[in-house]
Amino acid sequence: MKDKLKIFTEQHREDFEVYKLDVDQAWKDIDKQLDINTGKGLQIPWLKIVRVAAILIVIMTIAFGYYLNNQRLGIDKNGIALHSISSELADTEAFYATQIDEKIDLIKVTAGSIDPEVAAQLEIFDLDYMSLKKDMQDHADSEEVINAMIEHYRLKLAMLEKILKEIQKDDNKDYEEAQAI
Amino acid sequence: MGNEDDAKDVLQDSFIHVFSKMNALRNIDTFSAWIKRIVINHCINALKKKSIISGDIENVGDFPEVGEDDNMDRLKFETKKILEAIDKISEGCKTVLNLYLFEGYDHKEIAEILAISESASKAQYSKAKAKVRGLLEEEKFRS
Repeated sequence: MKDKLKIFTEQHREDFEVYKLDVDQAWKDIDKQLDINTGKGLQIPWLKIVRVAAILIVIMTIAFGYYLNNQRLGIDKNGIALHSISSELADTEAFYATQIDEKIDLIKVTAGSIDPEVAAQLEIFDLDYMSLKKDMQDHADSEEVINAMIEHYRLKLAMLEKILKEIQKDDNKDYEEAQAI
Repeated sequence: MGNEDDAKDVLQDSFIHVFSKMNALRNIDTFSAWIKRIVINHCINALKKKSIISGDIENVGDFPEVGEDDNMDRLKFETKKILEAIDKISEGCKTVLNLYLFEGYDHKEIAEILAISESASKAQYSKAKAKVRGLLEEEKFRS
């Protein structure tokens, strides 16, 4: 059987809308409430950000200071060089380093290039020196290590001088032989 | 909801809910039905909070599920009179009647919304309609 009341309400559905809603106001209210709710969700945690920024600044300052200090002290990841221990040792190191560079340049000029055996020996010297720098980092101001580092320079220079003398001796021999012919 | 202010509050809360749960909507085709269901649920919850309706909707007593009412033929329906009559019936009856008559839900859906049985929904509707009819007849007799 037909439901007369149902049929009537369906046919006159709009007539039952007796309450008129101010749609604009309703949306404004919803919008306002959404702003409040969204504001909560997107609230920027300034205090947290400031804290994190402060921690980062402190870390960066310490890291930069540490880096500068290491630069000043001549400390790098490979250890401590002689020049960072004292001005006297810096002078000694500079003297040997200059002498060694000059001898290497002279060998290159005289012989045309560095002999592979000599180059390998120089590499061994460099590795030894790296090892001494690390020892110095672990045992700062150790006289024994300082002496070993100076000795290293002295030996390296002595070896280069000997090589240079040999090359020059060979050159003289060649020259004398050429003159004799 | 019984009064306009409560209705506006529930509407506002419902739309806040809609916007906050928008990502839960799986099928855009069901958007309007989804919003309608949210509004209805908010209304039901608000009524329950105010203890206007309770779990006793299920208990219709021995009210029969009537088939159809020939008596309705004798009544000349008037929108205003029907609304006045609906206002006077119990909230349980009114809720079922509103969902059925004005929101277009069938008894299966009403049963699901109100967490009652389908037969209870039908019985509540019959009871509501009988009360409305009685009130309309009374009104007719008085006039």
